[in-house]
Amino acid sequence: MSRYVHQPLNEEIRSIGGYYKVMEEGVLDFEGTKVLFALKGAHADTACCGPGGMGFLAVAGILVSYKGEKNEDGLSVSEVKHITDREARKRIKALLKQKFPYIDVVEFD
Amino acid sequence: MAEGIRDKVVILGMGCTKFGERWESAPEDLAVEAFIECLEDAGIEKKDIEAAWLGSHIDEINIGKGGNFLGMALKLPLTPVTRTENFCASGTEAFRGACYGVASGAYDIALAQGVEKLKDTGYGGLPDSPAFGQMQAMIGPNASAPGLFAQLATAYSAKYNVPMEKIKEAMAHISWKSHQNGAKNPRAHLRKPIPIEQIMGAPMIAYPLGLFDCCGVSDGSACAIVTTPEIAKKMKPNQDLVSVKALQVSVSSGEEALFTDWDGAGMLTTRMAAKKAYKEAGITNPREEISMMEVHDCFSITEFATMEDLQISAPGTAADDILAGFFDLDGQIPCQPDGGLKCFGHPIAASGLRMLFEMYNQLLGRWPEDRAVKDPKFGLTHNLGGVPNQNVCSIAIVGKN
Amino acid sequence: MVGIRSYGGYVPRFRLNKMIIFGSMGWLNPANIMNAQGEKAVANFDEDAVTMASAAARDCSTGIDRSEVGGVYFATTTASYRERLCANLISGSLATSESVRTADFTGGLKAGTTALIAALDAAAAGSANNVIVTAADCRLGKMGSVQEFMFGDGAGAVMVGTDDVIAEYKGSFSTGHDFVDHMRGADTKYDRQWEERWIRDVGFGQFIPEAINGLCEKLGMAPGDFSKIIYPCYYGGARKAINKKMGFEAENVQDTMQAQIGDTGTAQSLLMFSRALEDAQPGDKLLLVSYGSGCDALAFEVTDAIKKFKPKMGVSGSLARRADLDNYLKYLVWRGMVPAELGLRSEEQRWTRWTLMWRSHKAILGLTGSKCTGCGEPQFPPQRICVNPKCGAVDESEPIVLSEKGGKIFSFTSDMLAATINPPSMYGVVNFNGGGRYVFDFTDCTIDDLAVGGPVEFSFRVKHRDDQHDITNYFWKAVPVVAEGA
Repeated sequence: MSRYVHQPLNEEIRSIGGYYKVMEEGVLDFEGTKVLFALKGAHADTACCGPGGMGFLAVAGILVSYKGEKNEDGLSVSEVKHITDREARKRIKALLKQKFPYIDVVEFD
Repeated sequence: MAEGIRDKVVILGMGCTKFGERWESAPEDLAVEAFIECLEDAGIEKKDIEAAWLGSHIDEINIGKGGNFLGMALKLPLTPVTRTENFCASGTEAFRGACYGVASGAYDIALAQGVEKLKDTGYGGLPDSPAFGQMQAMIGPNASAPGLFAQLATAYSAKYNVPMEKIKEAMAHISWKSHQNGAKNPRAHLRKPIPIEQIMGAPMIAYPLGLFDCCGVSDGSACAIVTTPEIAKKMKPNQDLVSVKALQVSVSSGEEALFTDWDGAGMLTTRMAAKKAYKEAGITNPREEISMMEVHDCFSITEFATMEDLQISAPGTAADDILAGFFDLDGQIPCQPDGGLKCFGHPIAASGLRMLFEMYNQLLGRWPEDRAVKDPKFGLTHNLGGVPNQNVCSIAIVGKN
Repeated sequence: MVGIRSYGGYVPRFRLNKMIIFGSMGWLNPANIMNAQGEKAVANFDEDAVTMASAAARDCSTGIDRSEVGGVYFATTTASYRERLCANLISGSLATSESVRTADFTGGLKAGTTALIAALDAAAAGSANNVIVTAADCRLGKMGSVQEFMFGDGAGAVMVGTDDVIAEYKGSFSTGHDFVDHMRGADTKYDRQWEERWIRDVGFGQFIPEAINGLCEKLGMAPGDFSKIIYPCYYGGARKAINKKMGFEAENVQDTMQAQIGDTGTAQSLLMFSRALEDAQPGDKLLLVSYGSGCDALAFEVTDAIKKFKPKMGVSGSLARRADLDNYLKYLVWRGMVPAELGLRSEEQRWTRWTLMWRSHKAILGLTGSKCTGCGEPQFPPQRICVNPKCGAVDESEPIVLSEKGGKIFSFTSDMLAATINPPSMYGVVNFNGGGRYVFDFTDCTIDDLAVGGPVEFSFRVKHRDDQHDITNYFWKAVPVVAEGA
């Protein structure tokens, strides 16, 4: 089981090479479970390696508890179980593709 | 049998600009800023400098070729200036030139300066240039640096059977640590601690490297004035002095890129340069004797692999050491106490001298308590230029005289 | 005996469902709904007529010693150069001898068979043997045009010779007509066509029978003597009319693959011919006809040797290896049909230095490395001093062609930052089977197809485009070999 900290939506989270934003969070019904995912945008605008960016979906995992507690910064924390099964990942990808037809990159925590 | 450089040269003074997106500064401004600080620290006058070495890597948009830039920017009185270029080791190469100039007896006092002005391109990232010549420009992969470094992780994972999840966790710790350290440093480009979950939540730039595993592009300059121990003692009596213990460079032979024996899980050049540097410095057990390090963390995986290449962590165990906090500021060997490339910044040819600037000030006990390394004896700096299968590595070790 | 010695083909992996085109452009020309059935084969972003022709030529020379090749004839109307012989690029990619006859045939869509006749005549005259004839096209119609639905990308190839002949050449008949149904001016990118009814009725409807009758008369044969008739015609109605007029039974007429590939221009007849040879039996009489600015008609009789040759992929193998291109705009950007922003970094100049290209042409075009005669280690690019640290021999090596060796992935990555019109850029270290390694771009794959230790084959591709100077550079990329059905 892992902790998932809900970042404030649409705020730049910046490092030296670029930044990303959590644009939207959602819960997907998947084979009797609830899967927590987020739509994020990223821009490597100052990375040494060259400019680039992407919109991507990050799948946190199967929800065990939803926003049950808060961390020291006052951000909500959920508990999730990471999805490691290759076939389950494929099926989740397909479901997300229907929901977000324009997003090609799906990452699993 | 050559004796090596140990204890033949002492750092008399150093200077370093704030690194960052210095939109307001020309390369001349950066050079002058670091130089004036360095001159004051050394307690000498400009005319005392008998020779200078200038490091710069990207000359196309930076300072041009040759040594003229430094002579003219600093108004050095018709002094010999030699430009050194050797990828990310360019700054350490300038330092090596100055040290060898003094150690040979050719000069009493010499200057090494690195300058890099990168934010004049109009886009993020280093300028595109045929870094490995025209033939590779025609047939080399359509690659970026993170993609080439990222492959260290896939090869390492395969070789040592360390799961990618654990490598990613260790990489996140590396990034977290640099942000912790950089936040305390007023000269650092980025001064912001970042929680580990924000690092883990960043997108993959080149599998398995995330956005926060990559360093950025900065402007900056750093420099050192070096002299002989005898002169230094005369000029700074009863003061602690920092002397050079080892200077080594190793350059790829092609066996990594073209021959199938290389394991891909670390840099042969770093392994070779480290071995020679420890011998030169008289260090037999680096894990016990090195007090602190500034290594080339262009990507978190580079720092990861370098811990083993430097013989600090045993093969296959870097992740364990990293996650145990061995390299944290309060760990046994603090690594990147100033924030490293990832937070202090990476104006390429200034980086080697910036690392030495940190080691020098730590050894002299000049930093405030919250970012001071306790009672350091040896400080090691490491640069890695190019890409894992084709690169230049430089290592310097400095210590109290 | 003069005739066909071997055959091969190439269909690019990406297929664009024509309904996707209609979904994007049908609003403009709704009548195109009638052209929107099936799919068209689309060259990948790093493919063009030259690379596809190279792939077909390699396919058709499966198991044949390339040093035997006596010529390379390339037919296309979409060459990447107006001046620079593309046949030399293809022979270079095959690492043939350079003492070969090379020629580009172009101008009309019948150029593929014209090249074939030239090769057959050369073999008959004894002036060249084992000539590879390879044809490919990558023609463009404007967005929303009929041609955009009709055209597909692909290549067909045969080798012509006097030994091990699998289909004996019986003769040919040709016509040349300045019948401008389709045309492109010297500086025009998109096809322009005249009224379709005229193309159907006069173009196909009269010229194809004219060529067949001409050939039959010349050889003293009747159209009904042939067991397989191979002729291009992308109008279903016109085909039926021609079949009826000539008395052809539908099962004796070779499928055009219009709904799977599309019309491949100069390659069309050879592609169909190559597909027909996959099924041909000894004794079969084949009639091959081309169309475009006139017609060529050729007669062949299949020999017993047909059983001994199999191309590596063949047209059907190539057809079966497919992936959906589900984005119409991607197709437009790949073909340079719409301007796309690649960032300022991509505007940095990369000059092609022709002196270097010539010095290294065997390495670049033929993936030719050096093999140390001291320690036996292959290395790429060729090295004067052996890279094996235990050897280090100087100038003791012989050339080694690595393009057919295949290899294994040593490490790989998928990169979102490298500038490309097909992100992410995928590349990695590949160890050649038999020794040596190099960092290659991967193509025709997704990240899921890449794994450490995974097998790859090499494919000759467009490496880099310099739009400012209109230069296309070629080099080899690695294609992961993905198990069937995986």
